[in-house]
Amino acid sequence: MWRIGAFTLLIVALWFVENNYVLNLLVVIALQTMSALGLSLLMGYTGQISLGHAAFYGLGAYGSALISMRLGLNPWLSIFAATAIVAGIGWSLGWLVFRLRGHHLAMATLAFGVIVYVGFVELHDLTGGPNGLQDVPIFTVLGTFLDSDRLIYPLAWGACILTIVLAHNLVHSPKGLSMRSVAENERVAASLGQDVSALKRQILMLSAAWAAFAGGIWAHYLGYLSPNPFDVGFSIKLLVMVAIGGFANIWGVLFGVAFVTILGQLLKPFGFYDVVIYGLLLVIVMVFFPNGLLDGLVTLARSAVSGLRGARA
Amino acid sequence: MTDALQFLFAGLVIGSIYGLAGIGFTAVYNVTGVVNFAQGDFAMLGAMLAIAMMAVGTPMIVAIVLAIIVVALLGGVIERLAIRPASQTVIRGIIITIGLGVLLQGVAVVLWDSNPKSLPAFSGETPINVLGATLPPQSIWVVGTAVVLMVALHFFFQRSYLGKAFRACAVNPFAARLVGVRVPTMASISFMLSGALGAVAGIIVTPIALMQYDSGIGIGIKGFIACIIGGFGHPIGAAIGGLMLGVIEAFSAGYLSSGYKDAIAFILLLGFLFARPEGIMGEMEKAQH
Amino acid sequence: MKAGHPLLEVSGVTVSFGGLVALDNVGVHVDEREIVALIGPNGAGKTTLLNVLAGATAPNSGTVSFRGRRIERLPAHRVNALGIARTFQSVELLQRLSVRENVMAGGVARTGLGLGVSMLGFGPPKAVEARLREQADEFLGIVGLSQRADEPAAILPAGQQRLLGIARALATGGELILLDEPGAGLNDIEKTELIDVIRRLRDNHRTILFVEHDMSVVGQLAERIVVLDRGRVIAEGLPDDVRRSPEVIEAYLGQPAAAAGARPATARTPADARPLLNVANLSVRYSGLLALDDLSLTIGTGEIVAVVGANGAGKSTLLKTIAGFVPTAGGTIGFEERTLNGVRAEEIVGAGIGMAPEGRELFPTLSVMDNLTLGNYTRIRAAGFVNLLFRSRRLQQQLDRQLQTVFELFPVLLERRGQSAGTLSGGQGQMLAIGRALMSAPKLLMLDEPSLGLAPQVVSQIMATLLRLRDDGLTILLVEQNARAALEIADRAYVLAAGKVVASGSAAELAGDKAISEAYLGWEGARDTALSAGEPAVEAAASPGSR
Repeated sequence: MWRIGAFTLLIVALWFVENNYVLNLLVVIALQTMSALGLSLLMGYTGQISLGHAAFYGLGAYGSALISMRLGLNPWLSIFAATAIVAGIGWSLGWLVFRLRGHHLAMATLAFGVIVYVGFVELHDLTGGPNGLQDVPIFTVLGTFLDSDRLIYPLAWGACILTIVLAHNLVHSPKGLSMRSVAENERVAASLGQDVSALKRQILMLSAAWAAFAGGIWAHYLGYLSPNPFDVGFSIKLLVMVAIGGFANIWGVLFGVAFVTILGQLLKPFGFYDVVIYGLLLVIVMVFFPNGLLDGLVTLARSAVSGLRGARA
Repeated sequence: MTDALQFLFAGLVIGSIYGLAGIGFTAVYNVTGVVNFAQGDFAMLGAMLAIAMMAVGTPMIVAIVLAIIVVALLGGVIERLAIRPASQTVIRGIIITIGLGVLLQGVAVVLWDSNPKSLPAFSGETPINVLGATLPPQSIWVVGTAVVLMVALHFFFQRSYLGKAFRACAVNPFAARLVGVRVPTMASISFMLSGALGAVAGIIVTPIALMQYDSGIGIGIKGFIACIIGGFGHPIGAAIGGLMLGVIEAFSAGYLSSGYKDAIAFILLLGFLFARPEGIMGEMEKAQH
Repeated sequence: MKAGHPLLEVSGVTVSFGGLVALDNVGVHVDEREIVALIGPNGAGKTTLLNVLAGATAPNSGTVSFRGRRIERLPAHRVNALGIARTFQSVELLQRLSVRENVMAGGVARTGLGLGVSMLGFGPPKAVEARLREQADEFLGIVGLSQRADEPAAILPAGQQRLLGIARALATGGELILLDEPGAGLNDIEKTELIDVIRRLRDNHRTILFVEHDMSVVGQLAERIVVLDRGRVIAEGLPDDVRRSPEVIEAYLGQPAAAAGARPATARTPADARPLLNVANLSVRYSGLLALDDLSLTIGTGEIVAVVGANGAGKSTLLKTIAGFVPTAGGTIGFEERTLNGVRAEEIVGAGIGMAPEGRELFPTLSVMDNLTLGNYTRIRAAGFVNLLFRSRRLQQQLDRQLQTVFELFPVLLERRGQSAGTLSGGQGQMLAIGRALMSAPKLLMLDEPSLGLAPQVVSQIMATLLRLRDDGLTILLVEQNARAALEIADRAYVLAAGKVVASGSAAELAGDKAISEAYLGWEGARDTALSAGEPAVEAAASPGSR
């Protein structure tokens, strides 16, 4: 727990950085971490798979934007409303898809992601089609618009750190034990009285909610929306982040998000090389570092250190 | 009426490609139980290689054959280096094949570029007139090749000794080892086969549909859907599923809007997954791993 | 001692998977605070019955009542919530958790903690966790694992794994505890501990129903025994009565096959003095247990050697090790001039050994003909990969010769050659398994429990076929639970128990030696029964094997 405290201090310190580019990057990391954490709970801790997680992010974004625009609600309210609705969608989706397993489950979640994306693009009247929505209301606090990276930073990171705390608590609670049993052996978990299907639905609902909330923040910060960020590519990117993080490791997820985001920025001048790198990363991590890149590097470092000690002795 | 016929033909053409991709999935799944999400990227790579070779002056036939061989070998290499060590669980297998697909796309962009490319049509461009609808002659090549390959594969799996050894690996790997079949070798061969099939699919459709670095995703996913609809494991099932899917897509693109066709394909997928996951022909044999 | 209040009532339960009837009109009852043992030979349906009781399998018909409430259609987690807890044959510990966490995982479901509350990090989840921890320590104390509470579950030895499984089941608050082979793979010390623990459970107001093969455990614990054979209850009652029941003994030792041309009174001397197969001091670890312990046996060319013993004795492991599926942990396996240690399973066929494995292991969606031709795979492949696509004339002739041999032996396979192997009956399937093994023209044929699930007449046929094969020069290693039928045709035999050879000699000697059946069955009382046939009045109409 102290790690979370130290991390919070770090985040607060970074808030004072002058560089707007870095601030923007940090905001993006915060929001993506919220989505990735939910995915990590689902995949790493509960043993399922989702190839359509970007859909929840997008539904939160569009949902909150539309609720505030069409119903005239304050963004602070609409974001919670949208999150609740998307949580409900996640739970219902769970009823449908969790009777499937393996690649059937993977494809069903992919299908969900694509169908939602196509909805964003095609339902012009609702979503504004490929051009998206303009003039989405911005968050206000005491009369000030949160329309710069520096101003949205506390909200984004506040929500993110809260999510980290909640995930941490969940994993270390008895429910976390439940999740880990289900991930390892559903048959045994059921024999121990655990309602496996209900648990899977709950975790899906939770991860959908977190992604939706992050999406809502994104929408009311940016002020406009287009369908592009919510495509299958983003779902795959989330997957890469979680895989690099080691699937079942909260700090690993943070590392994965930061790694992928920063790498993406570094590779921007090289055009499409980032696609190669993502693919290569995923393959290398899955083959050589099944517990995630962070864990793998730490292990390598440790054996290097003990190797050195051994050589010296 | 001619509109409908036009859509039908277009659907059959693209459906043949989906069917071929589906059979590629089948070849691998039947032996290893792994679903290779990079299947579509084999198609893309095959086409890109052929194009690249022709660009430096290789005659078309040679380029095509070489491209198929290279992609087939690549399939074998991928199985050996990436799939075998990392597919202990189904989910890991899925993720690693997704990663491979992305990697292949990236390699394609780096080696060539991100522009759509084309191959010359095999037998000219003059459209053929059939009952009022017009077909590019390449469509005959597409459907024809697909039909020939599907029939050949059907006979391969059902009648040939090697094909039966393949199926034995999926159906009962313990017994397969008992009679002396080396399952890992069969796994490599099946990946090579699926690479070759993918490459062929990519090459024959490029003259009509063009090919770029990320065209593989669509082909692969639709191929998977074709397998679900038709029944995993059956070459004929994949063919039927592919054709059905292609035709439905073409009609929805024609009568609704092309944007919806992806959604419709996936709604169809969800429908089958929930109502009849074993597909139209029933799953041929459950890969028991 | 008898409480008399029925806790569990099972009536008319039938379970069938496809064409196979696993349980046939089974009825049992368990009273409060009883310790009941469920025994029966391999394939009797004991684990299936446990699965039905625990809600993991729904019966096709019949009822299961717990405390008067019908539970047969409830899912496993609901059944558990009502008070039935179970362990698994293969324990299935949660490897990534610690010992204590495994037990806590058992108690979580009862706490009813919700998702939202769980994320608080203080308050209810902490209180619940503390309670779970306390309870876990209590249960670990009952089974004697307290000192290992913080260690990762994965490193526990077999005996302690089972105890952990029991502690975990206790944590679910179960009143009726179902144990699936708790004694399997334990050494004597561990078994004594286990027996103590189970007695302690009963003293703590629990009721126990356990499946077990190890008769010493059954003997010391069971107050009442229920015997299953081929899906039916064939005996039930006090241990002494059950043990002496002829039906039970026959179910275990098997029926005589009355094979034509039965073995001669003395063992044949093998044609060659040097053994064909020479297993020396073989030790094997299988799923962490010592499955074979310094085991030695030899087979001479032209002999039929039987390996008999109760379930869990290591017979199948022996065959699987020779066949290259299981690595050795000591000792050697010599075949002809070669050492087979470390040779992979795929190469064994090429060395001249064919196996008809336990459970047949056919290719169900391929035809009978395809199954057979695949048996010839090694020969065809050895001639060059290209032959897998286009066979040379010489290879085709060789293949046809083998096929002819098999069809002569088993004409029914010729009749059904186009049928899917999965649609064959049990006996036909066994013939196909043997036929497939013969297709590689082996020098040694190994059979793992060929009589399993087959009617006596079919068993006769198969045994007669084995004799024919032996007469044609084949050497046969026959692993069988049906000791009587096996000893009828064998020249020599070995009796296995707990991974060791406890008796060996000519089949005639062993069949006549009454002490052997005690070693075989593991309980006194069987002493009065010989392994040989000729026991009075067993062939009553009530005989369960007559199908």
